[in-house]
Amino acid sequence: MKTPAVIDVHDRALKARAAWASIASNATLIVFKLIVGVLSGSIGIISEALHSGSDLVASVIALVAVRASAKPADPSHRYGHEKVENVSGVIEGLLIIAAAVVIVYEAVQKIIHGPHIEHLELAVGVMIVSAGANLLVSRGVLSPVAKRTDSAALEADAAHLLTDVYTSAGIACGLVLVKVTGWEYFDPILAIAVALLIVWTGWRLVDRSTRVLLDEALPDDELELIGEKVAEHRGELIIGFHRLRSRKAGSKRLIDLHITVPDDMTVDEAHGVAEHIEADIVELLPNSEALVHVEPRSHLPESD
Amino acid sequence: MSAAQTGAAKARGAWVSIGANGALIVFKLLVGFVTGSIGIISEAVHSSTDLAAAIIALVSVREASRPADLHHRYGHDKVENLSGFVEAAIVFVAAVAIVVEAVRHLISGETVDRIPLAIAVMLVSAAVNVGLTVYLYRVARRTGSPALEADAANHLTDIYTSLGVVGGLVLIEVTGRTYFDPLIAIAVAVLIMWTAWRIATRSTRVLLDEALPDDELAIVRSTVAEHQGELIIGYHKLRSRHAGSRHLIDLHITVPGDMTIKSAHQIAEHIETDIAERLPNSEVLVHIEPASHERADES
Repeated sequence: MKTPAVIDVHDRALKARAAWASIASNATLIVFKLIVGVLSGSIGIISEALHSGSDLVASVIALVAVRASAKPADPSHRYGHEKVENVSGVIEGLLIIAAAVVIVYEAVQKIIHGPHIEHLELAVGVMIVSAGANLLVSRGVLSPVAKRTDSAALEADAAHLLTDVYTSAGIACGLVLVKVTGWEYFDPILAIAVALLIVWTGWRLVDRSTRVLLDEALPDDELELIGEKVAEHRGELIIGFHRLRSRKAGSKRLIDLHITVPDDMTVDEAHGVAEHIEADIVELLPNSEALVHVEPRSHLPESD
Repeated sequence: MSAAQTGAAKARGAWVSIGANGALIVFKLLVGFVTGSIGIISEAVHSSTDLAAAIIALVSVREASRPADLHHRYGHDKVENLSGFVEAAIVFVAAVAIVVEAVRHLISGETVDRIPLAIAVMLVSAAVNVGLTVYLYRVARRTGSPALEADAANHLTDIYTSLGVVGGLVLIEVTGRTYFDPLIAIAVAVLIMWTAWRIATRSTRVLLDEALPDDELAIVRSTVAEHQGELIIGYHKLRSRHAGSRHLIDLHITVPGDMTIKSAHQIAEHIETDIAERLPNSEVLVHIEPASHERADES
């Protein structure tokens, strides 16, 4: 079996660096919000620092996942550790949903007890700074790296920070509306609207990560590519193929299939063919690992 | 047990859990309304999260027994492990709710009403949960179902909760100090969080493709090794993982390079069936290699 092109060292460092950028930005935001909050005495801004604290936890989870997933296969994880990234995706999704629940709860409290807004201009300023920083890290650092390295953990963290941009922007809009109209209920109402928006993001993350955890097949276009590639050898090296199975683990693609060859072909020759096909697949789709099971023609496939 | 029988046994287990929780809810609501005790009515709410968990277990054992399809070529068995994760999350949230409630009681110093009645309801609830837990663990072991195992663990935590509450109420009756109730509730919650953590890690391991436990791997190894020197020259790169109650195994065997594929495939099939016989519910994929091929990739 051919050694697959695993995530190279460069990618690994790139991923870790992106995760660190997210940690640094969240830590800075916490300090910033705490200082402004304490200086102005605004409870709202101090509680915003708490929110950034949950973001910090999420970005630490992303870093841990990126690092753990890069570890090579060991005796107790023979298929590698890549799925750690997908589990971290589920956790980030659940954190987003939990944050949304807290926002709705607080907004409902405000509506019931009557909203009371203080330090309006300052709060709008802090929200804009926070949204700017999160937007920069999410779209400028995390998303591009996640796309390049196919990292589920970084993609989840990028999505998480983007929900914070929505939240901060929503709250800032609400406060501006309060300022313009003088009607304080705009604040909690916009908060609830934002919460509904981010619940959807959280759910999408959970859904996407669980699909990988449940060993869903590769997307149809990738499967077609593999099928076409293997079929190229039909009639020449192999008689046919069947039982093509595939799944993902983090950014790694795991593929196995059965090929049929003439009964009297030697194991030497057949293994050469199998290795050839495995190498073809690995070349076609980066970061994939293929396992071929050779069958004699007389053995009819029991299923496909 | 055939796959269909296993599926039916699992579904039956999940239905029993749904039935028992449904009955407990009705019982607690009746007692709660007749006596007007808010505490007992809120206990009914607790039982309804158990009902939700039992429904999740039923859905997942059903999903898991569906055969492999185009989009899930390795089967749907891992749904059961995912449901274990979800149950753990529910149990954890329940524990957090208990702590919040307990702290609120400690601060407000609320008094507990109708103590003897509450004790009786809790004892009935604990008894039902003991029966249910024992039953679910047995079905889970027989069918190898992670979803039912998680549901059993969930009901085990309910026994802790009920007995903890009873202990607290008895202490209040004896000592007259009402803070025993919330203090014991917090202790129970910590115990429950630990259980939740255990269920979560156990399901995560499978979701992360952890290898089979050593004793099962030893069975596979000795089965393959029996043929060494006779049918095969050797084997390597043995990989394994779980999906629900299924064992997924693949390995490389080495045979003489000039052997025909027809004979080599017979050997491979022989080994596949041997393993599946010794370790029920396994699926094996053998990759045939010629002896001339260096085992450079062994890891």
